[in-house]
Amino acid sequence: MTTPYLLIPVLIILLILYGISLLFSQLEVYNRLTHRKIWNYSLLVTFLTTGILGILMAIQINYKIEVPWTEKVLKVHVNFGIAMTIIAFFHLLWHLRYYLPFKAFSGKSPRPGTRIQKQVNIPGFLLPFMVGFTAVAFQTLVIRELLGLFSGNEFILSIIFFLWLTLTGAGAFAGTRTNTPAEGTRLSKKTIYLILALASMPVALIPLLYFLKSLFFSPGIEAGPAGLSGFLFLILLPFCFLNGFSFTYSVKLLRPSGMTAGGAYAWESVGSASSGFLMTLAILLGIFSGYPGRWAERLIHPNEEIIQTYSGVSGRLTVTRTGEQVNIYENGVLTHSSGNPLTNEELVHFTLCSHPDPRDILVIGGTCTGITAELMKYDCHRVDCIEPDPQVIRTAKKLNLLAEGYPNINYLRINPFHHLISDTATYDVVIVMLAGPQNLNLNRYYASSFFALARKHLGHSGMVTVMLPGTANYVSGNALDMLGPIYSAARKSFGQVALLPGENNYLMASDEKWTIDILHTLQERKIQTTFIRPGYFDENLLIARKSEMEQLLNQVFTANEEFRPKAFLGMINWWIGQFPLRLLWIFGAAALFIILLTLVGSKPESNAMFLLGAGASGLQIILLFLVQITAGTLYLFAGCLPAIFMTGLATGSWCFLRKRVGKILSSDTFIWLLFSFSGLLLLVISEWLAHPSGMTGLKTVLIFLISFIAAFSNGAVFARLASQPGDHANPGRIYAYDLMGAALGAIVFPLALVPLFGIKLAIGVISATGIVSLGLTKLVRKRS
Amino acid sequence: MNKREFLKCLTITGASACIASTGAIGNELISAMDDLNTDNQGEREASHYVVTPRGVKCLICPNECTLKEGELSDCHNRIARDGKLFTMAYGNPCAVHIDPVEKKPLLHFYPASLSFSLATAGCNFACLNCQNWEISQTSPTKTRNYQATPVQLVDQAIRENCKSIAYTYSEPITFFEYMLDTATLAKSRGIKNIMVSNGYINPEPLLELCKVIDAANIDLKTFDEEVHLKLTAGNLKPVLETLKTFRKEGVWLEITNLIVPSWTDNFDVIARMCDWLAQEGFNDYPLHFSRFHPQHKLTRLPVTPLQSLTRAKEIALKAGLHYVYVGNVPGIGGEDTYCHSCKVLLVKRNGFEIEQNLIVNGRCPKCQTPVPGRW
Repeated sequence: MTTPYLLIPVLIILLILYGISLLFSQLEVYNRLTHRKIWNYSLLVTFLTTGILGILMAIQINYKIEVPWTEKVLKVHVNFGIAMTIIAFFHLLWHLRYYLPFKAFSGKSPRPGTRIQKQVNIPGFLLPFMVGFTAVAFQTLVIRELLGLFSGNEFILSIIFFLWLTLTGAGAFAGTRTNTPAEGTRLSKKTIYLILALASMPVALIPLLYFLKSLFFSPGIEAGPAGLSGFLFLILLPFCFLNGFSFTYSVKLLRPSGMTAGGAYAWESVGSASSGFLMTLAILLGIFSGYPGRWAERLIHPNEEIIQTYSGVSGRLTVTRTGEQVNIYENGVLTHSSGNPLTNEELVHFTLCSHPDPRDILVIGGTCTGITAELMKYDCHRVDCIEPDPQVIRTAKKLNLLAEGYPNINYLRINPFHHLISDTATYDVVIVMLAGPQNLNLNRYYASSFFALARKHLGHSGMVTVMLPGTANYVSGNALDMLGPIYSAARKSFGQVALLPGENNYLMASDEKWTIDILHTLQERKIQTTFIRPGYFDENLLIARKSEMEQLLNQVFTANEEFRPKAFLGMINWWIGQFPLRLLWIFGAAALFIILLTLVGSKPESNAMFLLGAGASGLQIILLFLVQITAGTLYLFAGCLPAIFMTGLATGSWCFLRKRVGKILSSDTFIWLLFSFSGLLLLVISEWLAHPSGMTGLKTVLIFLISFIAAFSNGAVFARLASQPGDHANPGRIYAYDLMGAALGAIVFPLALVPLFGIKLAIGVISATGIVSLGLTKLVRKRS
Repeated sequence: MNKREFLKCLTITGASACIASTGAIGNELISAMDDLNTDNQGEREASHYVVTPRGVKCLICPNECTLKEGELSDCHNRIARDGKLFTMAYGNPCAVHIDPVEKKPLLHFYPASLSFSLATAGCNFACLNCQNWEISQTSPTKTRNYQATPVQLVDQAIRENCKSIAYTYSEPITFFEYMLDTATLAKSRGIKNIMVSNGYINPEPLLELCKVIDAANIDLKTFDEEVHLKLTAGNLKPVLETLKTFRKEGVWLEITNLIVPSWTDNFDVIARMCDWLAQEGFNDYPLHFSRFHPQHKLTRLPVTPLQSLTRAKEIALKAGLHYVYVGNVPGIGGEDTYCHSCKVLLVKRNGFEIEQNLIVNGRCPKCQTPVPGRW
């Protein structure tokens, strides 16, 4: 927190909670009496806390008692006092008639349950449709913003999905408890309010996200897993809870009109699919490129002048100025500050001074850092510059960040892997200047397949240099877990591999031996430098530290691959290691919490849905991973893939309800095993999907197809389970179990199975959930 | 919802919440258990502690951790066992390098000499921007260590032709006993001792150190109490007291202030800091302004602009400080030494190399003004 007392956060939280509580009382989830009781108790608790702590402090001050926790007590006292005052203000509004006896405030309120709902001529399906529509719209926008604010990696994505699904599931549970009289085919006014609340929340919450981020986190701070989870919980709570609640509420509401749970599910899925496609189109057209705007960036970079900000298909590029210094951030992470040439000099001169005659150079990444100007100090014939996201080059050109006036520099707007596969160009040196294997997309540039591909483009004495995060004066075990697999990956293709430690670490690989003679070479070639020169640069120290590094790396590390992303996992562990928390334990406990909450005392059908939900969620996340690996971008597909999935859900649910799938296709065995089939299909083609052999379009279509098939199965299963006679088929409960299972899958698969056993085995386990889920249902049938 | 359902729901929720909490507590226990590696060869009884009814109280630094049996200190280096306090950082450095003395940074202390630099794991601060967090925010039981007794360290320093031994990288206060024993031996054998520290130490152990430490570079992170606490988890006042003690005891002192954008780049605060230093008689002690680079938990800030560094230098000179340096920014002469009286260039530096040194017998050759330091 940037301020000592939580004035604004407490106000915002209480307003949100009060709003939800009031809405629930209006929707008769509970009556008005209960709503007031909740806030009466809150007032009592805050009053007692504030009062008792105040008395304690008075005693401490009066009698000069030395206690170490005075400051903490004062903070709690004041913060509770703020809460008490705000809640008291709510009470004042309730009793305004008493204090201000104007006629306008007189009149009796109707007794609970006797409200006559004024009906509005709006079709009933609009509610489930809007539930789905707003969910995907919010998800797309929020995921983009969150990944930009908190590092765009799959670990963060899993946390987001876990919290999202848990909160939505909790809301769905709450929705099953309503006693609302059914409305029929037309909606009441208060339901319209609910729809409006859903529709307006995405617009309101995104700006709030930035505001709260600046409030809860001091400038420049990297949020840890615990702080991040708490913050995300707060941001996602209002919308996700309301969204989950709205679906099960709509099922109850529309039952008398003949709309079944499966029908509502189908409308919800149609809304989600529509939203997903629209959002994807909007992203492609750049409609959100300036959203939410510079004011939001100013909150995140409070003491910097925002020159430009752009949201593309792969994330956000922000350019700021501090004095005369220009700073470039990609997804919130600083990639370059002008006036600090050390990294450029190390990377360029360590590499080019180790090559006898570097003429043709390929640079992947680093376009905005000025590295090309450093390269031009050499007599280069050709320098090809590529970015993992080609959009970055276009944006950098717009923002005048590219080195101009050099005819032999080519900025190629093509994916680097596509370039390496389709082009036959030969290079003397390939330089990779990226942020390290922070996500599965970047991990590809540190995998054995990349080194093999790069090697095909190298000429005689050709060399690849890959920049890696620095390790200062000590290389920890976690850092080695990141560096070692990359080293092993390079060793698979090259005979000579070395790691040079400087400001960053530089992995250099070649088939020819080379010696480190940097200062002499610079002198010979008459190249002027700022840092890499006598006085600032100790070449002997570099050689000594290189040897130390070789000793550390002289052990067996599993080579880094796309499907066994050891370097990425090492990087995540290294990141987590900065915070005093073992997240696996927390999420393991949370996973157990979900299992207990949903499985104890539940019916086997619910368990079956729970399991299938877990498998479906796990599959979706792994498909998102694969999209990163094949297409190289997550942002574009953040809306697209959920849309495909939702289309599958809607279609499966609709086909089952309308009995349009034929006798064979409507059998239990088929629809459950269809899910397992989708997993097995993915398993079979996974290697080909990950191989950088091009055909990205076809691969993307296949990923969509697998997502659709899995979702079709999921939708059909839900419709079947929800339409069974008797008490077993509480559609709202089954929906809630589906979501809870999905929340579990969002955590277990990416954070446990994939890190421990790799993507392939995780896919195998996912496939098995379909079979186990089927088994549970068969068990119930047999017993009954 | 009837009563039975309500009770069932409450029971499940309560049980689940307990399990989730246990997971969180279990996480802490696992962390703590990892730290209690009984095979740690670096363990020996600590100095400066007292046994109280609440546990063993360490008196090395103002944290004054009171530890129950088996509990680890805030600095990750001390542990209570059998009613005594033990240090786990003795004879087991995790980082050992040879650096030029200018890298500490010490510019008025035997320039162009080499310093044998070492550290064990541990630190009594938790700076958000720590460059060495992998060794400072952990315990020696978790790092990969060398085995080196004080005798071995001193022998090695002599073999490597090092003028001094520097206790640096992490926080030497937390390996107090190891530093003290090594420094005592080094002093007896003509090797100087340098401490690069946050200065967060209690007076009594500090006075003991002053007998063997020849020079210190102290990080004065900021002059704002609240920012200091938020940035480091430590208070400012003890650091200021340490500065005064070093000066009083005749230890050569150089002060470093890292300018972190949005945190410690408030020029009013910098001005107050410089005024305080001038008023307290630190005019002749070098002040280094250094440039922040994103590290550890502060990764979403830009590097310090050059203008901030040069402006801070102007403020310091205006406040009356005589030797103000801007570190590691080539081309601006930020590390050159001028006579504060006649302004002649005395020492011209090129990074860690000395291109020209005109100081004769510790004085300016032109106006004979003493140039404070150890030459």
